[in-house]
Amino acid sequence: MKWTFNQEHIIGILCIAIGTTVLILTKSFPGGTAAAEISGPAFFPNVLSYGLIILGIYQILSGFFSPKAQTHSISTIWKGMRSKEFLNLVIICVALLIYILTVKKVGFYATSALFLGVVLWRLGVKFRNNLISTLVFLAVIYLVFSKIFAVTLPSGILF
Amino acid sequence: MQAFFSIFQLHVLIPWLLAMALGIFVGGIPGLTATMAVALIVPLTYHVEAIAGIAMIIGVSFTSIFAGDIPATFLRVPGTPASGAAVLDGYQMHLKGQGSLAITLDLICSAIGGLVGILILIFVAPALSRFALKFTHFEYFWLGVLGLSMSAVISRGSRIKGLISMVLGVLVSTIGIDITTGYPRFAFGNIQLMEGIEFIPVMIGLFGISEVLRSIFTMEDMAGAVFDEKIKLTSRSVGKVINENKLLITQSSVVGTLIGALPGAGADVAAWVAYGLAKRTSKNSDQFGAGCVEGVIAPTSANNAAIGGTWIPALVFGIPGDTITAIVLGAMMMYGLKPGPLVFEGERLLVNQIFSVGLVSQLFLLILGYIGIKSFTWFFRFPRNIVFGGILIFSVVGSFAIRNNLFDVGVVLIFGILGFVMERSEIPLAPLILGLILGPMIEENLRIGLIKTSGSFAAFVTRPISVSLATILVVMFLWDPIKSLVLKLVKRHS
Repeated sequence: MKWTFNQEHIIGILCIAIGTTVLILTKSFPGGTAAAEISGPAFFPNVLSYGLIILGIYQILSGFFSPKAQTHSISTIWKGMRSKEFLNLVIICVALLIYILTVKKVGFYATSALFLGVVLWRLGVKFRNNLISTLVFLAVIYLVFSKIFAVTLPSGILF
Repeated sequence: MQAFFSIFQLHVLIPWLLAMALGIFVGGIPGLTATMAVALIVPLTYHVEAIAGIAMIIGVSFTSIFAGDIPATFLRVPGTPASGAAVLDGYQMHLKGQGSLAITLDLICSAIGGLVGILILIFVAPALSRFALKFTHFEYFWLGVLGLSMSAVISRGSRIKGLISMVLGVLVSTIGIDITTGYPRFAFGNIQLMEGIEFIPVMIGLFGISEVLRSIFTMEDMAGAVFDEKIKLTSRSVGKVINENKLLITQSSVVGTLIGALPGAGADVAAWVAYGLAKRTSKNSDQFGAGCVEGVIAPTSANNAAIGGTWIPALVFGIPGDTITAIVLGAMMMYGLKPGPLVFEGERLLVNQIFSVGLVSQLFLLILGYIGIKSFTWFFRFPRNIVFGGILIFSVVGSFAIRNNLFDVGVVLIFGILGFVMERSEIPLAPLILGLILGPMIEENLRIGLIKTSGSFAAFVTRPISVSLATILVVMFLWDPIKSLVLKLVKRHS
């Protein structure tokens, strides 16, 4: 039987990697006072890490032996994703990251307007509807968060 | 009675009704779940009184679950996962020209189911809480593990993937100051991480942002779902059908409540189980799937009844029955309330207010559901891409507003991407959220229990209630292998 490297293997490897990283990190934690260091801060994360490593090993093995797993090649994760849509996904995530990094300096409403405009544009909303929707959403946010619930939104150098 | 009348104050009623209206809107749009509706309003609940916030969450869960049945009946597209079973006969009735009858039955059965669920909650929860007073750290540890494991076992797909999701959630819950020693774990000197990961941004990311990201790939497919038909609500023959099927409504509502009370099993599982049971016990079982009223009554009574059921473990033990009650528990903790058996003594007024809100919500559901059905055609003309853009910005602002903290928005982004990747890899999301909520409870009770016994695990498996809970856990995991082994043996002998 020919084995293919599949989705289950990746999940298993990630589980083992996370579990091992946690075990390495907890080595620097102070020890507990009672038997088997049960009162120490490392005890519970270590138990979970061992559990995750065992699950990861099981997952890798099932990747080899389960007939269903053999059909889940790595490409299954990307199945149905067209390049244009994938680009949209990346743009929206990057836009959100830039939004988080700049909103305090630039100001909430200016950054949000730009962010929403980009998101709606990538979601295929036409310019006129995009503009109207952005203004309506910002007006609702202003009314609900700033006026009714008195949440202080970052004002920044613009507004 | 004081509790009952106190919920009719304007500062409770207005946010409650607005949230219920939002539930109709979100639930009626395919792709948007009841959990997402709750996730969207939770940040707003922090700015109102505790009972108003809880009323908003209860109300939105009832209306969004019902509203999911509207596109399920008319477009064959379930608005929420809980409406999956309602598609089968509801849509067939619509094709036969009985769509209005189906949706009217649906609305009434949803309200009756919701009512039965809340009534069972009212009678069962206080009695169960007296029993829960016997629980110590050892029992609470097993209860937490049981609740978590059930979410992994019941969730669709691979059980191992459910467990992976669950362990990841519990691991995330260990980030921050250790409650026993005060040591900052996995904080890397970052003050925000020392405070721990707030579960609301995690949940908004997992269920809100990941859904928006997922929608990018389904936007074109959903564009085909158009509807242009006037719906007339019919009262003729509805009374007769309800009267003829009162036993089925009761059966489905009770089953829905019981399924809802199992941690991890929500309204969607309840609807399918009730549908299957109705089919098995009905004289017209061959009519199921071809547009029979029983196929509409059973799942729609059960999915709303399940909401009352999910509140039983949440209020009595502090164990969420589903992701919605997980959010409620988090919200209650933010209000300084600790769900558990003592809440029935210390917070009697609030508990009665919750019961009252649940009961009155059924009346509001009938009114808002009626308006929702009437305005259904408008719902579907609303462009989905604009709705998703709105969800994205409200998720961002909502998560920021909780603590006026941009770190939480970063958490939303990270868990949004993680949720998207997990769904693509068929790893269920709900166990991660439950792990994050139940993790601290399990750790605290495990460590305190072990410290009490100087590291011995004996007390966890020798006390009567502890050993019963542990046995249930073992049976739950071994049930499938044992069943297949027994069947093999029986086959071989016969």
